[in-house]
Amino acid sequence: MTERKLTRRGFIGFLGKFAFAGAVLSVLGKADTELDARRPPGAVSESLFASVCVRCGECADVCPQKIITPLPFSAGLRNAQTPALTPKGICTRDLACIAACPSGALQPITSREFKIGTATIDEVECRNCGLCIPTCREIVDAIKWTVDKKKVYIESDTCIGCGACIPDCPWDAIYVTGVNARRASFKWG
Amino acid sequence: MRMKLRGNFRLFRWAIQAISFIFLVLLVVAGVCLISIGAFGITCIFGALQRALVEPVLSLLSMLLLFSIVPIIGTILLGRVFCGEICPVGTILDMFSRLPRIDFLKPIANPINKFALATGFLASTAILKYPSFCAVCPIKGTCNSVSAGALLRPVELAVLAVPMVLEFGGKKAWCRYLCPLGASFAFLSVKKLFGFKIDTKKCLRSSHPTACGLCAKACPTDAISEASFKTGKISRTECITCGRCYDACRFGALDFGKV
Repeated sequence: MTERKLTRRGFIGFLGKFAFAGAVLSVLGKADTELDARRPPGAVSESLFASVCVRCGECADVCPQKIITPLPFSAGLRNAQTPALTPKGICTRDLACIAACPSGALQPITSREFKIGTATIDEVECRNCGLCIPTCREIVDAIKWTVDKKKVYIESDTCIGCGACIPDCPWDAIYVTGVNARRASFKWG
Repeated sequence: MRMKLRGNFRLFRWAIQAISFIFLVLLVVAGVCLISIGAFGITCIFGALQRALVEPVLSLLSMLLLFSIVPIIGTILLGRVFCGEICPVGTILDMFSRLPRIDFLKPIANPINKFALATGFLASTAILKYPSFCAVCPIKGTCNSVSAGALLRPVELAVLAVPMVLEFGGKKAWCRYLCPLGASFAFLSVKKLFGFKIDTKKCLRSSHPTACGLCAKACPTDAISEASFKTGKISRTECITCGRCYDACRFGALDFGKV
């Protein structure tokens, strides 16, 4: 039961606390790193994604493959709890995550617009066996032989980053990142 | 000592709290953050405010106006009714209202701190270009802590620990001193239209300065000050419309009405 009025002293104290809190929080958030992992399909651009996503974790729950995981706090305050695909996860493109998203961070896309990342071949590890080629041929046919049939390469424009080729590789030479993913534009409704 | 309660506003409060807890935590996907109803929706106003700072054109038009219209108008009318009756963190803290208290809150025990923290988070949001409070929001954590896939989510529950620890220092300490959502609701309720008020004709303390004071004792947010007994006005920014004062008063001096 104390009197409460906003005195000058109280107001200056407020300004000081505000400046302190803002500075500390900004410095804490600045420690963020670039995200390498793939976002779920239909994700809006990375700058907008951290803003629009409400971090409810629903996409991770409905994913049939259970390959979507909320990022840990070690990924930075910006990306903490936002969904990303596990590095070796295979997306089967049923797009259940998009249907579940309440916030508009995952926008509805058609299967032709699907591109969540790009697969890359580790040139050192790759033995050019070609085991990954038949799997991809049934999906988008992005992994090909060079003309002289000596080297395997991935057409980065055709690759959709689904990750189906990863378990085919006996040498763990294929890795998939979110690079060059086709990001949806944001709209409500 | 437990005092005998005269009013029955608490039954109403419990009903609303139970319904909104089940609805927000168990049924709706994103809980308080976003309840989408077709193209329309209800968002958290602090979340909308942060997003408005990140993406001004997009958010101001669509989110702040269309999606936060319900909480904004509701708060202008009824004040911090969200804090007292709907907020799932408030409901959980109410369940632990009989905790043993440890006096460690002196450094932060000032209602202005929540405004400072809120504006601090808004400033960092504007600089960092993402809603920085949402990452650590205990209300979001509570709403998302239960899910069909993973029954109880550990990270979300860990965020809830902050208000729980503060609760040992005093009733609703998190809500009163730190919660940025509480701050934004308090800001909107500066000119609220409806709420509890003291009828100074019936109130015993209005004429006897040392008498009674049960309502102020029952108030979890110290919204009833010494001046309230003289003017009949209860702090608009601090009152969370929980109705404990109404239940505690033995003289029927507390009314709900136009303030």
